[in-house]
Amino acid sequence: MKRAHRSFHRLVWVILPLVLAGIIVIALLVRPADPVLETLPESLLEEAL
Amino acid sequence: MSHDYKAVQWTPFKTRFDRWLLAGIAIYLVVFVAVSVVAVPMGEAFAEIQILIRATGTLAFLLLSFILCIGPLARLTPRFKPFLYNRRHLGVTTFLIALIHAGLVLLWYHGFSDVNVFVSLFASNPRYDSIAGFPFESLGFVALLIMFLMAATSHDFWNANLGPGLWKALHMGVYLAFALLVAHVALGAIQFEKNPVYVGLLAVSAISVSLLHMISLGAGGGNKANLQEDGWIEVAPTGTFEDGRAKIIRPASGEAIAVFRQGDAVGAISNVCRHQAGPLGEGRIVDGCVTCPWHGFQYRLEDGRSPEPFTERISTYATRVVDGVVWVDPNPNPPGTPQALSPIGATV
Repeated sequence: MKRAHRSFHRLVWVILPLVLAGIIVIALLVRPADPVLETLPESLLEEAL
Repeated sequence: MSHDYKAVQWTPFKTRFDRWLLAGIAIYLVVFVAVSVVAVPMGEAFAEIQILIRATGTLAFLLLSFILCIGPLARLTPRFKPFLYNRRHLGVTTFLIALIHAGLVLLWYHGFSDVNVFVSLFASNPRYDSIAGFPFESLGFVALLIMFLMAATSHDFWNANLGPGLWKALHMGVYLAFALLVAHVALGAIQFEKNPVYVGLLAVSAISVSLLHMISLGAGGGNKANLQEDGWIEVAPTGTFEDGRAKIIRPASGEAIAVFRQGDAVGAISNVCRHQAGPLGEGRIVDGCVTCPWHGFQYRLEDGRSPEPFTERISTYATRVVDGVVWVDPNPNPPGTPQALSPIGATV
């Protein structure tokens, strides 16, 4: 790997883990306590059928 | 390594690898669909297309995570070198699965819209200022575009025409794509899926990829340059060299140097393969030639030239052995310049 690529690679893997961790933590913090599935309720399905 | 243009440089190993890959994909999809149908309680069942969206989405994400782990794993253990050799096929396959995932999403969630599906994708949910309600599909779409660019240029034709530097820079976009996909899953599936498996898969993937890269950066650092007064660099005692293997030296300036032992002599060449800048010093000598661990490009240690009919050339470096210690001159010879190897028993 060329020196420039290696330096960039090293920089990426210093920053990226922090970014990924931040994204996941924030997503879990804003996550609804009871996530809502995106399927239609059974009653609506039966009505439609 | 190929002298002529070929669409795909098939070898029996690659053919076998791809068959196993396709079989694995088929098994994953069948198992995912079966479990989704059987395990989900009545009243919470998804439509078939929704199950396929989840199956292809999770598969593409897991494959991309694995692809990103291959490099560091191959650096830590040679068992993963076959995956490194076939990483392109894995990458293109991952893009195609992600493309199917995106196509199904556009069809199911935007295909019945009054406006163009792509307009619907970016405009139907305008909450770009929200975290919980962020239109996560747009993140996946941008990641897919990056993966398309990489898959479309994942061939030696583009490597040769763009040049290894630009090609490599373009393909480092995979890190951005991975970050976008983590955000895509975190702000998407994680927000509305009850099943904790999705949170687990996301966390394990992100942690595995990050940890392996950080560990391998430390493991593959190469030797620190110990300069002598005349500018030569001390490499290591001759007794520590394994036949056919190299020690990598990183001078204060210039590219890294791979110092190989070949039988009873040592020689040095650039550590950077002409093909895709692969680390030659992590390869070994096969059939008398230094062989790149990434895609098998070969160079003679004594002149840095690929064997006929190939035309690739890399820099050679002068070496010497003093009191049982190998030294290298960090000033490179022009690519392809013959350079006598230094007998291990020799002293200056």
